[in-house]
Amino acid sequence: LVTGLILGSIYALIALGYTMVYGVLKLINFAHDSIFMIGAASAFYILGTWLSITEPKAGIVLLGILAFGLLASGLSSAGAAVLLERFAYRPLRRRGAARLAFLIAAVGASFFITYLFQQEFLLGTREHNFPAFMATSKALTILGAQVNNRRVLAVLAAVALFVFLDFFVRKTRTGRSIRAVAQDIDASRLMGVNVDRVIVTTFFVGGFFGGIAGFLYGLVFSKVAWNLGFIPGIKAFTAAVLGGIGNIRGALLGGLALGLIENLSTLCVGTEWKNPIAFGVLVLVLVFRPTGILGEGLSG
Amino acid sequence: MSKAPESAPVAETKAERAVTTPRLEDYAPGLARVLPGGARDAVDAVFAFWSRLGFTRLVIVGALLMSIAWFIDPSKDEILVRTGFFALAALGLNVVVGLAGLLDLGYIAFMMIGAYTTAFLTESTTTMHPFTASPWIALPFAVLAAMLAGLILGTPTLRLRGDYLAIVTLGFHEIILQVGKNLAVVNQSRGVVGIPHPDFHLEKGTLVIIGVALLALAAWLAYLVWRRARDRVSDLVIGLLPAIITGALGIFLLLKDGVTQEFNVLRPQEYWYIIVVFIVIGLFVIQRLKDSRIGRAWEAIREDEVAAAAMGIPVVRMKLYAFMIGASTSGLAGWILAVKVGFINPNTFPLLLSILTLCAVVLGGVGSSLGALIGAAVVFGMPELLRDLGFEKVLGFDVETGRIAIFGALLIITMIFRPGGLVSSARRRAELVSGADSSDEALATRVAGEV
Repeated sequence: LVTGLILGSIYALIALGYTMVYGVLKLINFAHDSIFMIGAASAFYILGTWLSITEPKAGIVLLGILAFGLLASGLSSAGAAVLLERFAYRPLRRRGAARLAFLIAAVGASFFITYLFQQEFLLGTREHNFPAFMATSKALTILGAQVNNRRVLAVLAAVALFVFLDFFVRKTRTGRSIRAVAQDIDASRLMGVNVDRVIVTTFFVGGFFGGIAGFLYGLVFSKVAWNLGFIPGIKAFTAAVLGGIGNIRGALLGGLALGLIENLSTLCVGTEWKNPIAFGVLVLVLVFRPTGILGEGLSG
Repeated sequence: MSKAPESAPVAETKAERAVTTPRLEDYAPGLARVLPGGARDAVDAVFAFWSRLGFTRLVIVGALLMSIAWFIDPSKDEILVRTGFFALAALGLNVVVGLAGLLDLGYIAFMMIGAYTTAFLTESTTTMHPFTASPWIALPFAVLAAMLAGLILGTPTLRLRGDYLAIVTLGFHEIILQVGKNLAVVNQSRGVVGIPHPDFHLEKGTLVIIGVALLALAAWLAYLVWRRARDRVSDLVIGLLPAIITGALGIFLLLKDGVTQEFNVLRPQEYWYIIVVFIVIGLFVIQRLKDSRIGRAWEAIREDEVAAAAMGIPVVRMKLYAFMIGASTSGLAGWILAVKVGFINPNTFPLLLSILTLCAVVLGGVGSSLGALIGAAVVFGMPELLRDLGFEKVLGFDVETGRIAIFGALLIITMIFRPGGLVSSARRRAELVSGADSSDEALATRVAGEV
């Protein structure tokens, strides 16, 4: 159950990227799974290859590395997301392309980034170990389950980020313009909102969260690979839809719910059936409640 | 057409001519501008003649495609068959994505269903079930099974908004893969081996019957054409072509003693012929569908679902048709794969193939059957050919895996700069780009005429 919660919070973080972009552009950003992968990959590069941190650290150094790693992952993913917006989606928007064109471009982008990283000069086809800078310790016992420190960290980070984001979107000026654009892009342009900047901000925030999720994913599962983003990407999208796409709280709820469902199905039916069950749930939710549990809309 | 001024009937017929026959500048405006006038007219004349041939075109295309197998080196046959196989698949996906505008990312799952159905019915090495059928008997079942799967998946999901369909189909592919990997009856991830190759044997008697039937058909066709176009020689020649071809085929069969055709892995050529036959049939069916009520309904749905529903089009049912046609084509391809390779397992059908097929459709030209074929040749044929020619790396990318990165980038670029793909008519471009291009007056009238 606790494992489900951990997985769920990572899903929720990725789902956020889907949700934010969908809320603003009404576009399913299929490339978000590769953005997530970039987060994990850049942590591997910066911490593992450049700084060559392999020994477990402790105390203030550990905290420093964590903060730095999270920031670095988040920023590189956010950078990738912004680039993606700039070079793929914005030209399409300028040309008033059809929705299908956006979707296809998104699929294309996803495959471009993923397989770029599969090439030898980047990650290659092997699976790498995530830099082991943090010793695993059985820190806590929650509800009778042993939970190590990495996992606690993952959940805490996710919750903290969500609280922050919820505040950001609800209370700040930028948040208000994001909500405005989500409601009506043309009207907000007329009201003097810089739509392009809002969209870039959205991609940045979504990418940043995706990157952090990538870092945490690498930390929890101790691996980095070129195709790491694919399954979590689909799952996170499922989570976003489950909670109501375009809805930030929905992303959190959907992520956690999906993590729990998966873990329960592993316990009850067997590991090999967990993916089919997760997708089955998605289809069922879509059929009976097409807008997800909490409904659509960033403003909600 | 209604826009044409009534006072100038001559101008109107000219305009009509311009809209009904394709011209070079519709497809490649750049090329049309560069070429000298004479060459351009020549190309246009060829286009005009070609477009008047009607369905004879399909026979010619089929014959040309088949003859490829005679010209190329036998060692390349494998590549040819593989490309043709995916061309067939792309043709079906084009109906779903191009005609009906549904983004299906799990298309190859239906192929897997078709292949597994074939395997299940014909396989004889392990005793999974008490009977084994001939591959030909398995063929309709494979197609039906895939179609049924399309129906089952489509019924709940096609009611949803279009965007969700992409992810649901993606998930569906994953589910089918997992089921294949875990189901004991299909040997889990080890897959199924020993699927027999199809073969057929026709006696002299059967051939005579078929030959006579073909001759009768030819005579009937000739009579029809004669009655309609007796006075116009050029129409007569064009119209008689199908009759002549049918008749020639009939005589050819009458002269033969009997046909025995065995298929095996070592001679992929035979599979190429089967594939071409299916491709031609597919082209015919798709063209007919496009021009039918269903085809127009698909177009309406693709452009504006709400408006289409308001006009009384049963949106969900029409989408289901497209989905099922696509699925059954994929199932058919699955059948070919199963009987050709004789060995399948879940890893034969990775998600990647779904995406690559989509790449083929989009690069070739969304909504164009010819584009789908060309796209498949580019996406599936070219990398193999490059590797065969000794290229290990292109621009630092590994040919096998790097192509996916390149195609990914190409997808974006295509969507931005040429959303209609390699083969795109003015009309498709106008539909895909609602910007300045389509407001061009000449284009607008042409589009109106074509509709």
